[in-house]
Amino acid sequence: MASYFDELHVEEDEIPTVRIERLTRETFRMLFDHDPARYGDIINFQNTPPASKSEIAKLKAPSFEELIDEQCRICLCQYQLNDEALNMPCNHIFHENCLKTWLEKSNFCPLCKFELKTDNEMYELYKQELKNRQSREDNIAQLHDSMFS
Amino acid sequence: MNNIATQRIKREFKEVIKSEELAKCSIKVDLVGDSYTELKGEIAGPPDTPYEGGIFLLEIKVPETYPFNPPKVRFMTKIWHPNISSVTGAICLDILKDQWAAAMTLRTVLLSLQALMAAAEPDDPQDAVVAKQYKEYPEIFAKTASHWTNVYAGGIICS
Ligand SMILES: [Zn+2]
Ligand SMILES: [Zn+2]
Repeated sequence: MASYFDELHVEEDEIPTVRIERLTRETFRMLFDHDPARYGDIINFQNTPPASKSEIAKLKAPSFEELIDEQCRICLCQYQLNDEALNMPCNHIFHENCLKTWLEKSNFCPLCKFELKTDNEMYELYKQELKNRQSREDNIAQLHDSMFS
Repeated sequence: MNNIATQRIKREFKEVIKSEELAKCSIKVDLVGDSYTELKGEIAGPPDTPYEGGIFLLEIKVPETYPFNPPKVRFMTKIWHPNISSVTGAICLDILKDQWAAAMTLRTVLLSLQALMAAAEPDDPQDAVVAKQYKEYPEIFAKTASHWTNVYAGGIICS
């Protein structure tokens, strides 16, 4: 068992979600070493890419009732009559301008981190791989539990 | 500074001033001058940590692009902690970098820093020397940290 952990630089007390994320990143980093031109963006995942323009265009305006007595959590102002607002798929509402400015640099909801799709193929690939690995890990954990509990 | 940044900070000021954490003397924010671009934060060392009893001052610089970019925060009070530089006070905390979100506020930042003081993350260190000591000699670490608290962060009484 020890050799398996040594080989993958896995510390046994590392939190599983943290480990999966790290290993996925390392895989992509190896891809980058292999073909920098194609996988170049991967290294810059310190900041998530902006949301896709087409995804932003799909966001719908909330009804006026939804804005009454509510506050935009980006500018912290209460909604006024005729304010333009948008609803994220997670149902969090922000001023249209506030949200669009935010989505020009990040792809997630400022309140709950719900992610919109991006136009960055590599980032999408990375996310997919992360998801696959997580579900694999969950399956193994379930199997382990069913065998040993 | 553009309007939204100033407006935000003004509103946040009220939020911190009304907060129960301020009432408990746990966090505090003050203006430096009248521009709202530079602020001074204060965090009380969390109980049952080597920082207990200390008051830690923070330099907070608000960028023009706030809240779309995080504030720049640094410890002005010297502190012995794996995620904070013992020399410059620079902080390694994800929400001050890539995990920042526009709905976060100065209050969230100060409370996150207080949480970081209570639970260090030695695998993502800012100060390698401190992190090594934290992992390998936890008792010496705790002694050093509380000594620094007494020397650099003590003696200020919360009013
Ligand atoms: Zn707004
Ligand atoms: Zn949301």
